[in-house]
Order: sequence, then structure tokens, then C-alpha cells
Amino acid sequence: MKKIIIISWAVMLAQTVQAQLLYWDMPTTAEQVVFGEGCLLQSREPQGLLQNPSSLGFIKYRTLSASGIQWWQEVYGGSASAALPVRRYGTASFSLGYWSLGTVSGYTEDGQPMGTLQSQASNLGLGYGLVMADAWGLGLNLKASRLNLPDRYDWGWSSDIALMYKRGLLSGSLMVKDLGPDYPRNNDIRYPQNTAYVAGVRAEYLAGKVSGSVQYNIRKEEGGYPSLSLESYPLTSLSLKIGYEKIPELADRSPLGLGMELKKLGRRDLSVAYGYRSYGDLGNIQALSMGISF
Amino acid sequence: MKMMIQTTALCLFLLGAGKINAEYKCFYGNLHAHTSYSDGESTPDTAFAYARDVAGVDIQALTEHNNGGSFSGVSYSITPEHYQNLRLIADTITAPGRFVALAGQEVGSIGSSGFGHINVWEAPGLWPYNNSDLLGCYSWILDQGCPAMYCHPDSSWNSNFNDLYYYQDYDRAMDLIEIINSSTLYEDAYLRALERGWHVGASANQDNHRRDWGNRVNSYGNIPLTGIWADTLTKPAVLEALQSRRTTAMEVSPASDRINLLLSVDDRYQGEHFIRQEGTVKIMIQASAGSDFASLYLYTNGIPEDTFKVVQASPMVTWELEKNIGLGTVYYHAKALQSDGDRAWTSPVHIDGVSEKNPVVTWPTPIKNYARIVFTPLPAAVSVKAVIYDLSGKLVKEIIGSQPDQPIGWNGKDAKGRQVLNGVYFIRLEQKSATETRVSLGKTMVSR
Repeated sequence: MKKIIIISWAVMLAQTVQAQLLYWDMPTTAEQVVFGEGCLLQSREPQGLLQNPSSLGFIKYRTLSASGIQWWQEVYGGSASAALPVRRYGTASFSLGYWSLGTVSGYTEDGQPMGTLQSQASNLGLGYGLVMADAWGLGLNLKASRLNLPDRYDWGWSSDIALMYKRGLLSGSLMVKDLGPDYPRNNDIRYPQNTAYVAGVRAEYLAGKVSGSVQYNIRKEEGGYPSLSLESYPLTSLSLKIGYEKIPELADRSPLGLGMELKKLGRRDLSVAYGYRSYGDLGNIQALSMGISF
Repeated sequence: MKMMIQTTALCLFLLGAGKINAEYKCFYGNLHAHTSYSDGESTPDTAFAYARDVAGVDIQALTEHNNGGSFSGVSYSITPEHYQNLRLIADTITAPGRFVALAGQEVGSIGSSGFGHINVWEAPGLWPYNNSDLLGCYSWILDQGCPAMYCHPDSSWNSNFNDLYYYQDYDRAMDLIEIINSSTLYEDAYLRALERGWHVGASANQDNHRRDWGNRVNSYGNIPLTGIWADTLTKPAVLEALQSRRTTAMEVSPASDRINLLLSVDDRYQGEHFIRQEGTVKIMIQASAGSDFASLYLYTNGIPEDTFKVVQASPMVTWELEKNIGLGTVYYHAKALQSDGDRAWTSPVHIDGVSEKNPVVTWPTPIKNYARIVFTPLPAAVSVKAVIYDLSGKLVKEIIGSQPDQPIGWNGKDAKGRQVLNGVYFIRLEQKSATETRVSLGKTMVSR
């Protein structure tokens, strides 16, 4: 039986936003690498579910996940997340992220070497989601980030709010992402956050052996762009993933992300996922994620 | 290791343009003078004719005051009508291959709120003077696209341009600085300007206010002149040479004893600025004149590190040596001393030494406001482009280099002119030659 996907777009609010790098938006998990923003709807793994707080309430087991990512130019990132169902009150989540931005050679204005400079960024996330009427999910994320530089640090905070409707093999979600004050808080050079408005649907087919999602994202500077995601199970415990997302501002990033996942390993429902995406001359990124539910 | 070669030869010195190099000839000019269009004597056509026929210079500029100044209630500042007339006369009297007349203006004030005087040549119109607005003046010069020079840069009075404070954004505005103005030596200001970071060349001029355009003898019995190295004696070639700082400042006595002093580093001439890998550079200083030389000096970063004593007195000397350069900026300029005491100075050659290990870096790092992107140059490159990305891979700015082997300036702003946030940024540098395209990656940091 074919399922018909009806996409209903949310009314997108107009707001002055500016594209600036927000460390909590940097992908650290395999599914974020593969699906990009599409991860918000497509993911069913702990590491991805925590990105969309409205899906938190549907998590009925304690879950843990950890991810590591190799960026280009000696930059590495990692994250760890936990989701804890709080009986009938919903599910809470907690996540930590860390980016080593590598080393940079320091120089004076006339080119004299000044040694090696290091910098790091760290993220903290708290989420809460609950389910109403067995079909509606509502969630909130609070996120904070701190960038450490050799002689100073910058910090800021943000939030996500999301709504999800889930019925059978079909689900849809609306989300406002990165809503908060100018970033960073402690610097004269600060900008409004690049708030995103996201809407999309996800459907499963063949008893869940194939699933896909269509999502539309609007950020002012990037404009609107779709995220398309597809996952299939050629074997019971193996899934292949492909994501398509073309953002004009990320000109060197390949629109295609590729990945795979081994699922339901062991008695603890362990999963291991890998994601890959090319950034052209800049290099490639690849991430490895592990998740467990118990 | 240093290698010194002294070449002594018959000096076939010609009165007028001197030739020491196959690519450029030295033409002699006086770039600072006045007539009754401001506070001098006589008229422009008389002044140009005198400089050409009596003084025998190749290039004469008339740089009338444009600062709103007055004596006893009578304005001596050039009027817009006079300026346009001056331009017309200069164009009319210019004869390619024989004589180039430049129409100029001396802007700024040396009053208590002034910043000093700056000569600007061949601007389409007059500076809308605001004698206390140095940055506005720099900006106006950049907009005109004309060569400009610091005049009589004296740190002890109101002619020091905010003590020659260096503004990277306006580096291209200023091309020359007077080492000699009439009887006063400003060599210390020349060295200070270079130390501050300005890429300015050497000039020596007469600042005539009387009827002695081109052959004014100062109180030491010398005639200051600027040697301008151009391929032809035409106005476009002269203006190009001035903006390329391909000049020599000199004092001569007698008038026929004009000096050719040419500095080359790895076959790049005075006034040039280029990037090369750290290592050994070949330096050549060629000097010729109507009388003997006593010594040549090579200044490294403003310090006379190497001296060549001319053992066998000669009016033509060539000195070759090698120097090792490391990471960072180094600049060389040469000075010649003749047996009769006359002196000459070249403009500097600036080199940015880079390491092959870090093919693309920024100076400084971390960046606060402005940085130069330096890179390992591709041989025979014809173009260079830097594309800056933030950590997420978002394109921040694309900058086309003005010269394929010169650093690329970045003001720390994105394509929309906003200051970028603190963090790590990546640079993708693309160099192209006729046969090859080379892409290099670098990483930098912004922290402010």
C-alpha cells in the first residue's frame, strides 16, 4: 500500500537574522554528517533524536550516545548525549560537545613567528520533550557554547522549540531553531542568531525497511533550501543512508552525504553509525557514532 | 656568504637620461615646485620651459598649494580654474621622449591643527581641503588613483603626518617621501616611515618658489633631484614609475653629475614588493655618475648592515652580494656616497619571506583588524585569489590579489562588510600560471 505524503509548510516568520557560525550547530554525529539539517526529522537514532526536542518524548528507554568527527585542517569534534525518560512526565536530555580547533601558527604583523596558538569550543545542551495524546510531541532545547582563544573567550546561548505529530509510519515536525539573543554575549562584535525555521515530513515504507523525509529550512542569509533524506535496510541489522542538502553559502560542500549503520547489536540494542561528506578542496569530514538503549 | 664585485669602466654618462639597465632608464625630475598660481613666482608655462631648457631636467612637476591658506588676507591657494589651466599647460608642454610636465597640488596644512603637506600629481580635480583630516586626505588620494608624496616630513613641527602613523588601509595611498627638500635632510623620517610599515619610495626635490625650477642650488651647494626609473619618457610611464616607487633620491653637484643608483633583489627593482620562500637572495647595486663613488651601503630593515668601500675610485660601480632571509618581512635599500660628498638613496625592495611548511598564513595571527595573507608563490603566476571560509565551510569572503606575488590584504570583514566573529578561519588560495593551477590551504585565527 502506497502512502501518500502530504507536506504542509509552516508559516515562516520574518525576522532579521545574520549568518554567523554557532558552534552548537556544527555537526558531530554520523547522521548529522549524512543528512545535514535533515537529521532533525529523519533520524531515529539516539544521537540524532536529541537534535529535535519534540522527538524526545517518544523515547521510552534510557539512551546514551557518543560521537567523534574528523573535520579538515586538524580540527576534531566530539559529543556525548544522554536521554532519560521521566515516567509520564516526558523525557529529559543532556549533551556535551567539544571541538578542538587545532593549532595555528602565530605571527607578528611583520611575519615573525610567535609560536603555536590553540583554540577550543565546548557546547552544553539541555532538552525536554513530552508526548500528548500519544501523537503530539512538544520539546525545548537550551544550548550554550563557549569559544576559548589564547587571550579571551566568547560565549552565548540559544534555544530550539519544536512540535511533532506522529501517527503510524508517518510523522511531521515544525521547529524553530537557534532562537536567542545576539551572539556572543561578551563581545562588542555580536550579531543576531541565524534562526532557522524548519518544517518537514517523514514516512516509512515496507514495514520500516525504507524511510525517507522531506524537509524545508529557511535561514535568512542562506535563503530556503530543502533537505532530503533516505534510509534503507538491505539487511536486518544494516542500514544505508543518503542525504541531499545543497546550501549555496556552503559552496564547497558536496550536497550528498553518505553513511551506514549497524543496528540492534547485542542485547543492549547497540548501534554504530558512520557518515561521510566531501567539502571539495577543503577536505572531507567523517564521523563515527555509537548509541545504546536500555 | 657575501660576494663582492667591483666593476670599473669608462663612464659613458649622458647628460639627461642615464641608462644602467636594459629594462628601465633613469629620468631626472623635480617633483615639488610652485609658481604664482599659489605662492611662487612667474607662470606655469615659463616654469616648465625653464626646467626643460635651462635646468635640463626630464620631468618637472608644479605642485601648487591647495589648502585654503592666505597671507595678509590674500589667498595663495590655487583656484579650480588655475588648476585646470595648469593641467592643460602641462599636457601641452609634455613632449614624449623629451620632457614630461606634471600638474600637481600640495595639499594639507602645517598649521597648528594640520598634519603636513602631501603632493599629489595629476589628480583630475582639487582636494576639497579639510586640513585636519589626514585619513580623509588618504582616502581622497586612493579615490583619485594618483601618485602622492609626503613633503618635508619633519617630526619637530606640524608636518609629521601623525608621526607617520601607519594605516594599513591607506598603504597604497602614499608612494614617496622626501628625503631632501631644498636644504633639509629628512633621512630619519624616511627610515621611520619604513619602520612604521609604509611602502614609500625615496625622493629629493627643490620646493622652488623662485625662478629656479629644476636647478635650485641649496645652501650646501647641491641640487636635489629624483631619479625616476621608467621604460620611456612619457607621462603614463612616469606616473606608473612613481606609483611603483621606482625612484632614487639624490643630491648632485655640479648639475651634470647626476647619479644612477639602482637596486635589485633577485632581479626585482627598487619599489617592488614580493613574496618568496626563505633562503638566499641575490642583491645587486649598480651606481654610475659623472664623478667617483667612495662607498655603497646596503640597509637591511633600515640599518646599514653592509658597506662596500670603493677601493679604486670609479664613477661606475657594481656591487653584488647575497643575503639570507628568514620568515617575515625584510626590506633593503641602498645608499651611495660619492667622493665629493654627494649622496643618493634608492627606494626599498620589500620581501615577505615564507616557509614551504606553511604555504598560506596571515600576518599577524591572531588577526585583530587587518592582516596580510602571505603564501608560497607559484613561479610565473599570473593571478592569485584567496577564499576565506569559517569553520563550518561557509564562504566568508573572496579576495583577488592585485599582484600574483604580493600579499593579499584582508580587513577581517565578510563579503557584506561586517566584522567577522572570533574563531578559526580557513583560507583556500588559488594561484594560476599559464600552465598550472595550484591550490593551497591555510588556517588562521581572529581574536579581538
